Amino acid sequence: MTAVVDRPLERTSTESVPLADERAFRAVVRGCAIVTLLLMGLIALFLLLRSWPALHRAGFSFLTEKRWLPDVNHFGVAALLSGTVVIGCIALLVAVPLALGASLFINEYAPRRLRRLLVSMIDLMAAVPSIVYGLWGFFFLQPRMIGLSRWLSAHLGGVLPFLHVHDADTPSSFTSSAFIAGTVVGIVVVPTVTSVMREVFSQAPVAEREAALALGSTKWGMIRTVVIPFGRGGIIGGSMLGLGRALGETIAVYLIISPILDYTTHPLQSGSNTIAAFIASRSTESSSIGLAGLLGAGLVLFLLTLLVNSIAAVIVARSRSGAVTE
Amino acid sequence: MTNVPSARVRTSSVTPELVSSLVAAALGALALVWLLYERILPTSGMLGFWLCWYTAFLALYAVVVGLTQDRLAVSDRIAAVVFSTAGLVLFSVLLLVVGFVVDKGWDAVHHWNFFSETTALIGPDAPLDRGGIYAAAVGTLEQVALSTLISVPLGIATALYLNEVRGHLAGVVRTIVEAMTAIPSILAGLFVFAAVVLTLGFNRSGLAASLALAVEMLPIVARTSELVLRLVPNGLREASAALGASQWETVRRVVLPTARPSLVTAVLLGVARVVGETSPILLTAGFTNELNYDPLHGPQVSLPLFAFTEVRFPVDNAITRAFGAAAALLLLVLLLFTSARVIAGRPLGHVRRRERRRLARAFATATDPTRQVPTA
Amino acid sequence: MKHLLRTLLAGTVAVSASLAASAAHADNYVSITGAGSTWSQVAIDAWRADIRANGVVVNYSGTGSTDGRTQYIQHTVDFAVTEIPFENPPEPGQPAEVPDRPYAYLPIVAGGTSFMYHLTVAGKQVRDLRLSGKTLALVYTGAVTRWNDPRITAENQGRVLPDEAIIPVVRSDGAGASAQFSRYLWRVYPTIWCPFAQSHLGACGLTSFFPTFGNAKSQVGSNGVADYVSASYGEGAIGYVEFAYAKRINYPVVSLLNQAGYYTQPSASDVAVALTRAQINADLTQNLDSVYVNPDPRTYPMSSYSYMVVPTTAASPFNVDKGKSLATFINYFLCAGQQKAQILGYSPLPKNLVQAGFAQVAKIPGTVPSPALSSCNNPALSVLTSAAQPLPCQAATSRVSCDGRTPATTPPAPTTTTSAPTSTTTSAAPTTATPRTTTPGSGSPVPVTSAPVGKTAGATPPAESSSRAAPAAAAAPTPTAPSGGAPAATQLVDPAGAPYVTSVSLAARSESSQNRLLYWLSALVLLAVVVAPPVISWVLLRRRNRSATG
Repeated sequence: MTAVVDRPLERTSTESVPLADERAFRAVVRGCAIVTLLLMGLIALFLLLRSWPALHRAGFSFLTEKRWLPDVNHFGVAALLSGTVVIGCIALLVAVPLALGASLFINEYAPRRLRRLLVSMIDLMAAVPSIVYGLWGFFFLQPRMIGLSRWLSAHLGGVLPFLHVHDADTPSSFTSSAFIAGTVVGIVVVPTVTSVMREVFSQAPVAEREAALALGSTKWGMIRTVVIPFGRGGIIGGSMLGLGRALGETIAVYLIISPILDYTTHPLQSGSNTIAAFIASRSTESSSIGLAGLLGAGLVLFLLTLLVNSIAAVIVARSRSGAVTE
Repeated sequence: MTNVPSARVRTSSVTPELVSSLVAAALGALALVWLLYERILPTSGMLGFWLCWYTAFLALYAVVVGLTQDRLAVSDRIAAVVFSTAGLVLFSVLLLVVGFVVDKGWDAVHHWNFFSETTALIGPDAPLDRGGIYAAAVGTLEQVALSTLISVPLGIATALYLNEVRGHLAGVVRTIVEAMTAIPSILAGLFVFAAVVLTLGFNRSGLAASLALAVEMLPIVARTSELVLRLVPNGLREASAALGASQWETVRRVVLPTARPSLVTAVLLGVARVVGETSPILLTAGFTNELNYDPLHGPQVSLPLFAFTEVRFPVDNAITRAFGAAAALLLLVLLLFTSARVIAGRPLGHVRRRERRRLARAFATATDPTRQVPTA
Repeated sequence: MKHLLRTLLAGTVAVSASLAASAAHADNYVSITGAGSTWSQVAIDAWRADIRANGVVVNYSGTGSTDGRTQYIQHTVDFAVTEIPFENPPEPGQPAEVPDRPYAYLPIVAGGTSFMYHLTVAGKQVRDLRLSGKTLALVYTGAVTRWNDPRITAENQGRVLPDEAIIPVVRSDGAGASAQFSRYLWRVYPTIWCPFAQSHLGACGLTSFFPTFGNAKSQVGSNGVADYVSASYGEGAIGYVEFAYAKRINYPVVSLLNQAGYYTQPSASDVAVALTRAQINADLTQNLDSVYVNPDPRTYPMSSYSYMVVPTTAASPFNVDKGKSLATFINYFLCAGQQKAQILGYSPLPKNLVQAGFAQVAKIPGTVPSPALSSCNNPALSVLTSAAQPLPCQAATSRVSCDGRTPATTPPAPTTTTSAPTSTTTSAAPTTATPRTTTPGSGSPVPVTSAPVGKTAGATPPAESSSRAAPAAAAAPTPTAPSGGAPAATQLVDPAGAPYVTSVSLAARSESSQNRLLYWLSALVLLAVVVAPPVISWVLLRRRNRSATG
């Protein structure tokens, strides 16, 4: 692609051709890419460097210690990690069935005229700020979920010991729990998961669908034999993507939970904590070693999210549907 | 959206039989569950009731359908009902969230002063006809504008590098950018707080907040822009190159104009994502009740931060104000979103009529004036 | 490098900055930024709004005392507000706090750390709970967990509170309120506090990070605590906040037992009286050990001053211009601002501390002269002199509650709880019948040191003037009963109550079992109606098919 004498037809006379333009363009674009690369690398490096004193001092116990007393070297993310994972899992339990059903509904069952509107609504839902969901969860959902928590605890607590709640006679025992926070986070991530799944399902090959229907399959039969197997990668990948977002969700959790520094073993019982919410609450009042510890906790969260997202990416890419989705 | 042939094959649409069996199952389940749940078993609670009702409804519906049809048809019907319910639940949650927030915030929002005043002169329990979110709205707009200014050029340039220039760093950059889309927003805030506020000694300010937002927005914009650029047909690039255009010219005159609506959509969606972000701002912006136009100096409040702060006052008026701010935030997101949809409504490479006229004129002056505009 | 980056950052936004610069500082005061205590935030917010009218812009974020001090150390704020001084040596598990820029302490307001609670009996909110420091210590170390605990009953004249879990609400952020409360527990009840602190924190002392335990809920900020306690699901909760937070939403706070044996509210006057025993160190910090055990019957034991940390050099981010704003702000609230303290739920500073505060203001770079003390109209003295003696019904020994409600039981008889002794009812009668006299203060065992009580009743805040002005059962005899120390687990039981209740429940049970049978039957019928036809048709169909094929 050298400079050619022959100009494109619509070209007006103002521009000059020279290679300088081209070189400048490449330089600028490359420069920007490098800045982006540096910036992003800087974050990772910075997290690592600044948290190093804490990680070094705490050693491996950083992952197993549940207390947070950085200045006497008793600090770790064990309690936070357990809360983060529990809340993430509850969020998935809420989000995945709902997203699966809703995406199939939009693609297969909804009236055709409505479909575009519904897709827009899902995307809009994904753009609703999480503080709005947090406020809604705190003021609307929480009072209404106490009854459900109590019901679950009373009727299933005997069979599944982790659903047991002590002091079940007071509603306070059921508020600010990992269960409620997880449900709200689930609602925060459900649009993301839905749109990934819907996207994948809509790519299912038409020929196979038609073949299934032509062979006399019912619509459900067609979905079961064509759409879902085709979109399996999308289902898992979308769920993992949702999990990644759920793990990093801060403000909705921060508004709802009552922070404790202990393992979250009974999700219905009030009190939990996540890494993100803990960082939000402690970031400013920490000493240098405390801040290093927080950055270390952030690093753990980042690695966890990265792991989950990478798995999601690999699954989506490996699946049959992967080639056609983003 | 691919064309789904099922509509043609579908044998049963809404029939009286379908409606009647649905209604019968729903009512029967309601009666049964009411009796069992409220009267016989020692259970209570609204949500539990409806969960039980739904289970009973599914069972009864299966039985009712099974009256006339075979097992395959029953599972088909049940699947249809389950999926539709999931969709219904999802959309009603959206409506519920919006409705609840607007309803709770209405007392604040319908006062005009809510949009034109600040809370500088009032306390949290002041009546709702005094004070408002003006300072917060200003802060949100400035911070989002700044972060857009920082991240959009960088993001799009990075996307161009990845997709057009394809230098030897492309692989690394792509990997890092993809990894960074995973960054939780709180970490963006923590990074800026630790690096810019504590290490560089830059005060908490609107700028620090916009940097945090930019850090979060940059990978999103870069990644979505790259996807958008990838959708530009290669034929266009080849045609441009064949006409002797340099790469810069191809990008400027073919690739970017073709992808512009989708790029705008990508940017707007990125903006919508960060406009309501609270956690990074919590660490970086500081809090003030004052109107602060200057993002460089002093704390600057924004809508999410305002809502977050107000809602923690145990006073009804403050909570109403928080919901008012949340409603304003929703409105903002809706505006951004609708404009993104309107812009994206046009297909890739669509040329507006005015644009076409302009092109035609340019074309005419450059070549034989009698010729017609070629279609793209 | 640092500078380069900063200029770069600045360059990016130069446009908007130049646009905004003109609007931002129209007046000649530079805005100042502070952070810290939520305990005193109500007062600071009020003063902030007042001084704003003069053009001084004060940005204050209530993020907790620990955060305020840390931010002062980190140079991110101009001033900090905290209940306790910089901690060096540190509290267990926390870093030593050594600011590298000079500072001075300046008392800003006095107040009482009070215990807001949410307790409902028969649909009515309980508003007259009385507790001793010891019981609070037991509650906040997880030893007393139910509201009907005999130790609580004993302190409330035998009134049995509902059998509900106590939900102690603590602060999750580093809080001066936590520090003040835990210091009280540590100094006054070391035998209760130390084992608890030892196991949760690894050392015995005060802590700004109150450990969570048992049923305890942790919340962010005083607002968070007040919010939780007053929430619809907050039944059974109790949390520590400054009195202003409870007053603002009209929530009751615990009457706390003082050394003289009276249960007092954290009113402005009782806080002022308590703090007359505070030892003020040379740097103006406080030693509250004698306040906790102040023998004056009008003492609210958990009273303290709140402090502002002000810079005394122009080290970044402070400067002379900011000094002018800060000095103006401080001069306002030390002087005229103190008049608001009582209305908000605090207590004004005494004159000597205001004077000392002015001396600290003079150290601020760019300071402005302080007003004359005489021009301030400081209400502290009148609050102190008008402090009313507690009513006899507030005494630990009193068996009559202050609203004249039926007292509880016989003198602390060892017979308790379950059985219903006949003597219970008889003892109740005479007390209610006691003629109410209008001689408040007559039961006071301690000599009155200040102005007489009667003429100043109007000065007390409304919350308690109602209870105090009510000349309730002043003549209650204070017989042999020892002060609340003995766990006299007396309980009000209606003698006729037990059999009556059982008969009702018996009847209810037989009726409900009948109903239940009916319900089961109708459920079965309903189920049969819905399910039977398909089942029958299915069976018939199959039979027909089989016969057809066979």
